[in-house]
Amino acid sequence: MILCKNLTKIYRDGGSGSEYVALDDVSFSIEKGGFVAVVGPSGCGKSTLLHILGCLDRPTQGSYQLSGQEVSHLSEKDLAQVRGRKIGFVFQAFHLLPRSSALHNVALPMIYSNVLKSQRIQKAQILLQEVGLEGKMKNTPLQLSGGERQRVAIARALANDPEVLLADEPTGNLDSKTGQEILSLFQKLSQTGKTILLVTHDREIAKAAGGLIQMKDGKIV
Amino acid sequence: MGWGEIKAHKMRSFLSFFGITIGIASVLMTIAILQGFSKNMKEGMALSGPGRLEVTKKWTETKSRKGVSQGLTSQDALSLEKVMPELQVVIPKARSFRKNIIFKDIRAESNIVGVVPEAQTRDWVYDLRGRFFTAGDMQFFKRVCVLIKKGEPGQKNIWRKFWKRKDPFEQLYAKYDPLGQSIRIQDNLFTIIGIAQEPPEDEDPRFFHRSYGNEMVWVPLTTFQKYIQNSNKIDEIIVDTGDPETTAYYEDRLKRFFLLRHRGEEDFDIQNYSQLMSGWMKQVRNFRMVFLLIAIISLIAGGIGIMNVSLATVYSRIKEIGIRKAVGATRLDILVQFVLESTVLSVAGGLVGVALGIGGAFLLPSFSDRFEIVISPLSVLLCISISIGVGMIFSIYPAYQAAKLDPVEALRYE
Ligand SMILES: Nc1ncnc2c1ncn2[C@@H]1O[C@H](COP(=O)(O)OP(=O)(O)O)[C@@H](O)[C@H]1O
Ligand SMILES: [Mg+2]
Repeated sequence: MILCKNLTKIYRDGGSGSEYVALDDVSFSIEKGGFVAVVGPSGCGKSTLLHILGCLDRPTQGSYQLSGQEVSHLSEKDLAQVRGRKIGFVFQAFHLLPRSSALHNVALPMIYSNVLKSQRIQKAQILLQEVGLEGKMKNTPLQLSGGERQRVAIARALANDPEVLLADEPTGNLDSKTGQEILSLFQKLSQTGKTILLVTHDREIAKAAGGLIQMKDGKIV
Repeated sequence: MGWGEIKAHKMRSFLSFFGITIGIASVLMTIAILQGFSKNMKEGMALSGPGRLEVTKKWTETKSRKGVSQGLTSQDALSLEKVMPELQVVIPKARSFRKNIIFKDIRAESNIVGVVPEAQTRDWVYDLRGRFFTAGDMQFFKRVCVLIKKGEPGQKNIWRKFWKRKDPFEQLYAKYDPLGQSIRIQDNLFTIIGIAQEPPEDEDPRFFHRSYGNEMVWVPLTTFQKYIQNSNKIDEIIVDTGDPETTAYYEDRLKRFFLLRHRGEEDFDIQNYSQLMSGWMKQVRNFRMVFLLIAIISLIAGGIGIMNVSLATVYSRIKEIGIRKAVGATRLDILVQFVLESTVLSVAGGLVGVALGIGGAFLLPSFSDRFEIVISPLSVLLCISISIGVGMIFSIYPAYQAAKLDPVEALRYE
């Protein structure tokens, strides 16, 4: 499903010209339906890796194949489409539109994959039910708790039926109990066949996951 | 452009809105006035005759005259008809001023005009009761006359409420029906054979030749010359070549014709109406340039305002742009979204401008008797397209700034 070879990401400071190697020659692969945890100390390049895998960023060097398709050379437009249709991204800070309802937030990705409005609403309602928010569809993120916001974000990530779910410390802003609920939601999703890559500090989850990527200083160790 | 940004930048939003509004209003009003003006002028021209020329006597001091010419006379008109039979009409007119008129117990003063039966074929806007002059009236110097009854002041014209033109025969009409009765003009009794009612002032289609003076009585030209003027002089000859294209040619011919008959003395003027009209149109075009300049300046000002508000919007929504990109929005999606949002503001300004323009254009005619304005659906459509265009053009730069944002950086932005 995911095949990475020699992925390198170098940040260049435009002013001083100094370079920082955030990802250093990373290679790995994940099978379809795999559930992999990414662990490592802060600043070791976990987010950088996930952004590249989520087509939000491009590697400086190396190749990244997503279900057999090389994506590191894609145009901006194609990259946006891969990002929208094949990948669901869940962020630590939720990143929901603050003034829009949960329903509209979940429907948002479908606007860009050209789903009809009535179908968007219908699909968003189903997804919100699946994450247990059938009563709060009209609420804006400000009217939701942290755990509920992350459920909305997960529902949004599922909107276009992506094959891959990427979650960057999805429980980082939550207390341990709600964090646990969110993680069990990911486990449930894993059972439906989604390929999941999840950045976490939680040892238990890391153990429960099928695979583990341990990082340090931009390298897999 | 979110409602939030419009509220957050009230002054900027208002100014850009206002700029578009003024720009669009002046575009619409310019078109409305010009279309109305040229419509009035064309109607007036059709009424006056398409190839109208007027030969009038020159009001020069007797001293400067050589004294070899007799001035314009009826013979000039008759000879002109013979020499240029292709002219559609040759209408001589003579005038005399401030004659005493007595009808029963009513005394008045009016200018008297001697006219020929053909006068009915040009500038005829009257509703005639009774009859007009015939060849017989002319031939036998009949002492008959037609009274002109002034039109009502227009409803539209607000000035007329304060300053009303008085009909010297107002009392007469209030007391009697003069048709068929006799009236004394100076020392002669005339029979009133017709009453010509002018249209209401604001519906008078005459563009040229509106009689604002107190020209209240017509008599046959021959009668006029015999009983009132005691000479065969005339004041003007109206000519229609039937075609505006030929007026320049005939202007030249008429000048040579009259110079010859007046022994080289140029004691007459020739007015060419189609030339006059094109002169006016030129002035109207200058006027239009001024209006369009105002329009362009305010549209640019409004556009820059829109650009400003859009840029502010983009900066306040960087995070949102990141979110949209993260869930699959392409650069084009973002660009289109911001352009559309700005265009809505511009079109709203444009619609208010259209309303303002229509309002202003309807107010303008109330300052004159007959100043028509024409607002066509096409000009409204043009204005709306212009506001769409301005909104789109001036929001492309801010929208492009939004579209090219890097998704990861945009998401990280607080
Ligand atoms: N845009 C950037 N410019 C320069 N350095 C960056 C940029 N983004 C991330 N980094 C650096 O790359 C390293 C890895 O960051 P990140 O992937 O966010 O780490 P993690 O998610 O594992 O905490 C960090 O040291 C960070 O400072
Ligand atoms: Mg991180």
